[in-house]
Amino acid sequence: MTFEEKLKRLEEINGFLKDPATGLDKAIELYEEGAKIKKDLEQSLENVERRIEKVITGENEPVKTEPFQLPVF
Amino acid sequence: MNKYNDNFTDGFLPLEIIEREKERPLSVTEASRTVKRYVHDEIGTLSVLGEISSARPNSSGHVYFDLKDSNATIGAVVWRSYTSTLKHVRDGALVVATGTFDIYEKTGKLTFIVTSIKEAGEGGVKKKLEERKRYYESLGWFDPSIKKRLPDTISSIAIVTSATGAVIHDMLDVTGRRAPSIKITLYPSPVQGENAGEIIAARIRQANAQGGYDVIIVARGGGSQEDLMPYSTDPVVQAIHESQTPVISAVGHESDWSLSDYVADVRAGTPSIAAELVTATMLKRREAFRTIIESINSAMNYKTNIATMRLKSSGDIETLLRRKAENMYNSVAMAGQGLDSFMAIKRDAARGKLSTLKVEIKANAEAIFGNTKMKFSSVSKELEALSPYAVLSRGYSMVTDHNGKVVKNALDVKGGDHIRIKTGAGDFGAVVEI
Repeated sequence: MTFEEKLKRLEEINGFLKDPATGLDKAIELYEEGAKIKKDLEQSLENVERRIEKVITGENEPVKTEPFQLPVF
Repeated sequence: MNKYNDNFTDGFLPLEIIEREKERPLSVTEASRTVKRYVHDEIGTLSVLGEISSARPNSSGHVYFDLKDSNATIGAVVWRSYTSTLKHVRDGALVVATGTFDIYEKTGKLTFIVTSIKEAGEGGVKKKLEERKRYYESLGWFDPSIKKRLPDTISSIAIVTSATGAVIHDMLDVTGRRAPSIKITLYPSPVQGENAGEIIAARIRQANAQGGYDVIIVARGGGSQEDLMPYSTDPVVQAIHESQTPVISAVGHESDWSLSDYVADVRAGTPSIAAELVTATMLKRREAFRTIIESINSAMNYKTNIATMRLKSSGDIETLLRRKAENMYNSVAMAGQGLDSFMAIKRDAARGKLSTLKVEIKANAEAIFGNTKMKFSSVSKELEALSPYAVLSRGYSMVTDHNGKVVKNALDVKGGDHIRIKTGAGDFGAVVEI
């Protein structure tokens, strides 16, 4: 699932949870599914290691990169 | 073939004849030659401002090219003999070309036969810049209609700027804070100086060739108009215009401008604003994500609360039942108490009655007893009256024989008998005399 699909699924789950007709058993099942998606998304949104690279080749050469670190002031 | 061809061998028909012979279709040659004559003779020499593009020398030494602006293209040629004019024919040059129009019969193509070319735009930096701006504007390169939208999802960006200094620092700071998941590739370039424009342009092209970026940011901090010049050079403007990847120009401060701002798909006032722009979606996602998670949690809480309340209300039934039971117990207790008090009242009443009864009995008994006593005393008095001793006390005496037997007849005694005479007060013995 893409991010948008996952978010959409979460919205669906939210809709079901808000529906008074959804029983507690079903709600718990949906909630658990939501929790899994949440963990997934959190992984991609929040807990990512930043990827910053710098091109080390000339402007007319094939691109080669290496991790870029800001010079410490 | 028609009859007029014999009369007008070059195929040109004067307008009066065309007017007169309206019903008759012209041959292609007639039409072409008529237009050709009018274009050449009536319009004559013209000067046209435009950009040279697609310059292509042919084998015979003539140079064909296009003159363009934003809306139209004219095919043009400089004959090989016009050597001083030829050297001005280079792609991208904004020129004023002077010449005449002609139609090449075989193809029907309208061609501008250029005899002289003057570079358009001269003077100071600013004037040059303005002229260049007008020129690119005339090409339609600044048209909002050709601007590419930034993609909804931006997960990888290329930044063309200096690897040192505040700009990249600020941009990494902003992106890191708002959307740490975005991948950033720095394409280092000088940001001022002689060759800066060409290197910046090459980096933009390089990033395009490399691919995989959702957006390219061309960034530079503030500076003087001259410092910012590289961002208004033809190579940079062209590289941005040709970029397949959307380009954000973030050059100088909000008040500065460079042509890169105009030709780019998006202009950001400062590099930090550019960083905010590219992280907006990701930030929105994070917010949307957080909102939905919050909503889910509250929905779930609500559900569980409802469930708990139901459980509680079943607990309430228990309480209610217990209360009812207590009430019943109390009622019973009260009933018991009532009964007790009722019994007490009854008991007291009984006691009262009993005591009354006792009193009555006592009274009756006493009454009975009293009568008896009285009767008894009167009987005793009667008995006393009947006693012989009572008679004796009145002066009578009683004689008893030696056996103690009362002598009631004088014959019962004989002389010499010892008798006892009993008076009311004491007795004495005597001997009978006959």
